[in-house]
Amino acid sequence: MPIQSHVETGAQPRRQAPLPRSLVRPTVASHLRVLWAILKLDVLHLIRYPMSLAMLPFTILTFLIPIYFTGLAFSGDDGRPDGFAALTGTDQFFSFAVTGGILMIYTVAVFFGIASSLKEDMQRGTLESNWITPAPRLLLLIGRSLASVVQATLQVLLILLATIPFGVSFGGDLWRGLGLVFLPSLIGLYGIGFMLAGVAFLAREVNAFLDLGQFALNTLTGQSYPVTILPRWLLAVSLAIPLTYGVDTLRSLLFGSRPLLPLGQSLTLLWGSAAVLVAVGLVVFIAAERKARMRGTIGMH
Amino acid sequence: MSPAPPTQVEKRSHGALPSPAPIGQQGLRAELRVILAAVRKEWIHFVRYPTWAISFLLWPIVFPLGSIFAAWALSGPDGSGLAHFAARTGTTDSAAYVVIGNAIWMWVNMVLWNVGTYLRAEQMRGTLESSWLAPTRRFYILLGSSLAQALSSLLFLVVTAIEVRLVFGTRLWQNPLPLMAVLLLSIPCIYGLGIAFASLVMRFKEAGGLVNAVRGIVMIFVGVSHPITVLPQWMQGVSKVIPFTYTIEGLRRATLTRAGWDQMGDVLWPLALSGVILAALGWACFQWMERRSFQQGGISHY
Repeated sequence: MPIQSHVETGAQPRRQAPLPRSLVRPTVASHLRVLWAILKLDVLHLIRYPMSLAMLPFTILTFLIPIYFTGLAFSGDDGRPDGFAALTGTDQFFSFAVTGGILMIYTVAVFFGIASSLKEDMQRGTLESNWITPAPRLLLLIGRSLASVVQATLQVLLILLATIPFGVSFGGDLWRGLGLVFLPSLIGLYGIGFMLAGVAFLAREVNAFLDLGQFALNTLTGQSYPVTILPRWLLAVSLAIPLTYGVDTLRSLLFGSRPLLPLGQSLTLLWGSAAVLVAVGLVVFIAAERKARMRGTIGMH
Repeated sequence: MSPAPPTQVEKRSHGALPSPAPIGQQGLRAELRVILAAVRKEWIHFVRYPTWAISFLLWPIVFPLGSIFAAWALSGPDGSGLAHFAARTGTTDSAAYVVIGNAIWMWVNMVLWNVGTYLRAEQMRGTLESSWLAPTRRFYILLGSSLAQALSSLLFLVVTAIEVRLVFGTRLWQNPLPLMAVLLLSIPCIYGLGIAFASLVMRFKEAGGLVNAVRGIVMIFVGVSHPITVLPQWMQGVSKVIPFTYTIEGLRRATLTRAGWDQMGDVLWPLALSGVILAALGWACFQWMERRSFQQGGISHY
């Protein structure tokens, strides 16, 4: 029997079926769900392979102890670093270096959390399947760095505990330091992380860039020394990196050391550069990802 | 039904079946071919990802810079800090002192990452099973990877020496024979450790934490950027059982104080002994891991 439409049968038309909705409804809640799912995945991975978590306290000691003994090698028998005190006006070499080290830990967390995890997904063969989910790709990138940043925060808290016996105190202006200086520094690092993710798409082997990039950044921003001791040409490069002012301003707020710039100028520079770095990072990432899709090399490693 | 006619082989051997030939040929030449095949495969991987050039050209100078600048800051504008350092180490060349320690640390680090994670990386790529099914001793595959890594490390050390000369003006090869002796005796120590490490990584399936642990021990105890005399007594005791302490001390003596053979004995003997022990340890760990993987079926476990 032929099938007749409601027009032919003269019957009343049924209510029109709703238009097919898009695969995803992007809302704040859906974005948070994506971030939560990725964080859960990474935490599960950490728990399933617990060695790196178990080694965390040890990793911290391996970071702190060489700094301490290097300071002692240049100190008198009373343990006072005379040369350093003459240069900086403070004999707190260890506290000075630990502050730089804390920012280094976050640099590593963001760089490796974003760009290296992209490479990992390529190797495991899960990048393409993640990429075709209807979640914003930028969110996937940020999500992959969350677990690293959480781990870095845990690491920093352990460092703060471990340094108490050495007489290190961050009591100065800690909250202002975190809110006004640390936050824009972290945002700027994310901007660089997006750029590195773009490089990961095109070069496909990104660990060399990451290692070198984070080391160069730490060296140039004065991880355990004032940047004023750098050779003149290197000092010019150092002063062009916003994170230099982040480390310097944080030290001045925490220990009262002489800053490179007045506080207001430093903060303007830090917040402004954070916005620029994120914007440039996004442009680079989007362009590189588009190029990789056009070449069909997204999943290749 | 009449029996099947004899095959050509049976005819040639007067009816007796030949004993089955092994799938792979045995012997020194075959083993060398396996090692060279592994070297060739690593080499292809090495040149396929050209970012290695960045590592080799920039790392030797970028990595120690942080410690060198810290040493300059600690020296002070009046040189008072440097005087304390010279009293403890016998040299005022703090940059070369730091570079030597850092170069050896980097060597150990590269071996831990490249040789140490070789089997695990093959496992993650899904190629370990097919490699292990090849009719050869599996140890030679890892040995080939170690050899490829040794060649790239040699290149790294040469680049380090050239760059230190260009940037800081220090000639690291001014006492070449004792220097070569220290480096040669360090090879079995470093690669024995790398092979043992590769076996442990297969057991724990997680390289990052283990690498951090081993290189952390090296960083703390062997005096990468500080003399071990500033360590407490118990830490100095630990330093003396780690072979890389002698590698770094030997290289510093040979280059910074131009020590002769008569002043190198207390460095070379411990290195030779450690080389034998660590090479044997690497072999034993690999055998243990291989047996364990077969018994528990963990070769392809991700």
